[in-house]
Amino acid sequence: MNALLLAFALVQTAPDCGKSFAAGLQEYQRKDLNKALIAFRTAVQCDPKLAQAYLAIADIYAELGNESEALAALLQALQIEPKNPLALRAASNLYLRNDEHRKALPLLETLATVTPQSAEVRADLAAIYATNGDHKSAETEFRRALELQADYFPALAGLGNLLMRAGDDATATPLLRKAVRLQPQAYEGHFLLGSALNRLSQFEEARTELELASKLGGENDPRVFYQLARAWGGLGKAPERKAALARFSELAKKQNDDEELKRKAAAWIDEARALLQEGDLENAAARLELAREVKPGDATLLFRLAGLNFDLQRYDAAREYVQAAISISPSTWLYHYLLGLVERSANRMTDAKASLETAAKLQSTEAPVFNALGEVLLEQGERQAAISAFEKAVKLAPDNATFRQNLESARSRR
Amino acid sequence: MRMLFLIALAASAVAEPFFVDEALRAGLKDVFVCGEERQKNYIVEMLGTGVAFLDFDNDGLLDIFAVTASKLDGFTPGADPVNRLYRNKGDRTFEDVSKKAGVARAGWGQGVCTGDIDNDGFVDIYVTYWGADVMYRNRGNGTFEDVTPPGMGSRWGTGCAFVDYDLDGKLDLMVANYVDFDLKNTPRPDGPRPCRWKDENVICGPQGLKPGLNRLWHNESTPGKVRFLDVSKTAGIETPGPRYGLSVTTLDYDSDGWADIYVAVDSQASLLYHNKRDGTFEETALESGVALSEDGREQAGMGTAAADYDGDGWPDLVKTNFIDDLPNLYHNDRDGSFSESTAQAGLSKYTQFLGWGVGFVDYDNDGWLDIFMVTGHVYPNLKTGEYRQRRLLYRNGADGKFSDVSAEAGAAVMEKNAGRGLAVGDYDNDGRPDLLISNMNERLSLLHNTLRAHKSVTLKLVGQKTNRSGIGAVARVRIGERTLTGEVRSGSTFMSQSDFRLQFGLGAASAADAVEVRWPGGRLEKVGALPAGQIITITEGKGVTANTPHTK
Repeated sequence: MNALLLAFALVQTAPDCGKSFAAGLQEYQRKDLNKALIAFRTAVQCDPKLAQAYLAIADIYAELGNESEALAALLQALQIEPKNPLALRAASNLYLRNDEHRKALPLLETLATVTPQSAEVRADLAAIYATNGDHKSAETEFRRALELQADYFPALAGLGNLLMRAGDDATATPLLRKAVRLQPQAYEGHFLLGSALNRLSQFEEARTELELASKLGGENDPRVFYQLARAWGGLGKAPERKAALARFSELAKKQNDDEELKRKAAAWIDEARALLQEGDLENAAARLELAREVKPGDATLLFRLAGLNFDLQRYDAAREYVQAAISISPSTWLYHYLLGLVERSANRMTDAKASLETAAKLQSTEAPVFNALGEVLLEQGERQAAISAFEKAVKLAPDNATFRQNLESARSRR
Repeated sequence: MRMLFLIALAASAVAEPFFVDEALRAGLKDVFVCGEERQKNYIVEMLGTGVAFLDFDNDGLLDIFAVTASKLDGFTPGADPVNRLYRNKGDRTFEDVSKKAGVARAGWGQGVCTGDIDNDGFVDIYVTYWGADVMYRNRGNGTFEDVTPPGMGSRWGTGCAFVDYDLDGKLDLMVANYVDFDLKNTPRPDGPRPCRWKDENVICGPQGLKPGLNRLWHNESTPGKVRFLDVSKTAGIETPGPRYGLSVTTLDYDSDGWADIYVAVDSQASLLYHNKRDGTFEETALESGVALSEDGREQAGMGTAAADYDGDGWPDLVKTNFIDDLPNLYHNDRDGSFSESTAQAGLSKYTQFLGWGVGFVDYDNDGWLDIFMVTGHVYPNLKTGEYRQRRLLYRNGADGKFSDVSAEAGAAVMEKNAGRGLAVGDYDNDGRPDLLISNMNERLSLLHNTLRAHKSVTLKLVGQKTNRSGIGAVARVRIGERTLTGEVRSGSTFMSQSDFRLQFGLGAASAADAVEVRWPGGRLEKVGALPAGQIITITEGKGVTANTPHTK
């Protein structure tokens, strides 16, 4: 996802929209990612068909570590340009990283038709087929990848692993040896080779490879220690085997505990939802707080917590949560809108105005945002600006009596 | 010309199917229910039910017991499905004697295992339930009485097995428990927050649900009084903590004469309880190499079976798993550990099957144990993938490798069902092992083996000082240079019970050169040569006490 921006130099769009896009590029080059995001969002507000702006948004979100927003932007880009290779590649990578193989598969299949000479795409496609149990297609694609690039490590390791699992150790082992020679620093290669050697009862060499795997980055991978235990067992070294199994158990337990915590967090969120429906805001907030401890980087969760604290009139807490959500996802208008409401309720009108203006910039079709902005502007004595905001609100939601009333009230005020 | 004709004849002989589904001919028409057929909403509707081959009336013919579950919406009064006991009439047909025998019980039945709990010579039955399990004592007159001790099995029992783990001559009972299930608080696929699998809404569990705890019950019965005491905690069964336990297979994997217990666990590490010979067990699955997949992954273990497939005299293990995974064939390394030999043995060809009941069965009597697996998906309404799947018959090539001969076996094997339970037994006493299969919300399948390849010898082992069912006894049959080994066991496969009798295919030989029985605890009893084509009863301390020829 890096250095995508060069590709945007020749963006064709309406002059005003192009201005926002150019501003986004400038901010990006200045490394002010938040401002860049807002500018790119403004650009897609202006020209919803601007696929490159979505790609830029995705790029920045990926840099910020917010994969879900990055993916959302990529999917929007793909709606506009379904065969955009950058978007296909980046979106499939994100899916693969989250083990969402079935979602990655159609993207990679399309990408394979767009970039038929890419060994990387073929190997990724093969890996998905293998995961889905379609070993025949997996083998075909791995072999195609190797035809395109004979020394492509993922294809060598992938095909070796596939053949090893099918019991064809004799063919698998040379492929894995070649993979290890090509990338001696990649622990996965050593791990796979060690596993294959275990199956061939070549325990001494297996142990060497697996110890290398553990030193080269596999120190927290339980699989490495499981295989290492097997090698030690084959060598008749009971204490070493026991130690490796103990390490395996420790790492596997940690993995399981993490998974269990994630499941619990999902359950707490469910419970919070039910409590909310019963009107028990206090306990709902407590459940969400538990979930937040497990998922501290979940912007949606932070936003929910902010909303609950806002409803409970705990404005300091609400502000803290929503600001944390914004730091993760700076171009989500809803977060800025909520922050604006929080600040207004806390009587911090200048901050409220700034947040609501950002929300309005990011989402120009939400009437409540303009109405809230109008109310704050009126409080600050900016009557003309308030009237203008209320007018926008009424234009967007002509049937809303409150917005209308606010507009009339502002107009009649002296 | 004559030569061509003979080749044509030989070809047609090979193409002849050798497993034929005789269920309808045999009168096995009842449908066994487990939840809704098309839209399953909860994990309790997923497991299906078990089946058993047993000779409850001691007439020398295998009868059938089949378990049914129910539907969550229930049935109209009087229409509830019930467990069935079918008596073998001796002409390859059965009659339903469930009501007469007193075992026609409704409820959410799951698994079944058998054993003679009071050593009176009549086999008793244990049925696991989502709810309260039931223990039936065979009165010996064709009827059973419910002797379930208070508090026994009020969980979600799945697989079970009788085993005399402390060698006091009385059969104890091991029961796997699956999930501590809370129907009210479990999401449905069509409700809020459904669980997802391959981008589709599916039944939730077992991951995310509370696992169950396996139970071990010590038999403390006295004449006229059935009593079992829960010793799970003191015996070390609870030590690994709660697990999603499914099938139970007992085996003496270290050949010390004391029964060990293997439990296939769904979505977690499977369990091997090593018998410490002092009334307690130590869980050693990880150390022994039978907890996980070859690459250290937890698997969704379903069914299990144990037998010596390579003729080295030590019991190996096979386990079926979820879809997108392989089964496990664990080879016993004779030092307390096992090596996974799934791929080397040729069992890594398919990942599209979801395996359940599994058995080692020498279908062609060549003296090498083959493998039969029952398969079927858990989600009936998937947009992708097959709910009904074919069965798998793997022939043992006598070289450590198995090959898929399902198609040769015939349409009965290739038929697609959502299969679950499997029992192996020779119901017509012709010396060829037959297969009994339970299918989700369908009638049973009874696969009659018609292959006239080689002869066999069938051994019925009757304990005297040790338990009467002979459970835990190991028979070794020598044929020339080879020694075949078999162990009598309760339970195993998937929530099902196979014939207690041990069948040994003799290949080209016309007799077993020598037979040796090691009774539970290790006492050896030698029996001389035995001719092929016989069902031979060996009674502990008395040698051969009866023999009956196989039927033609």
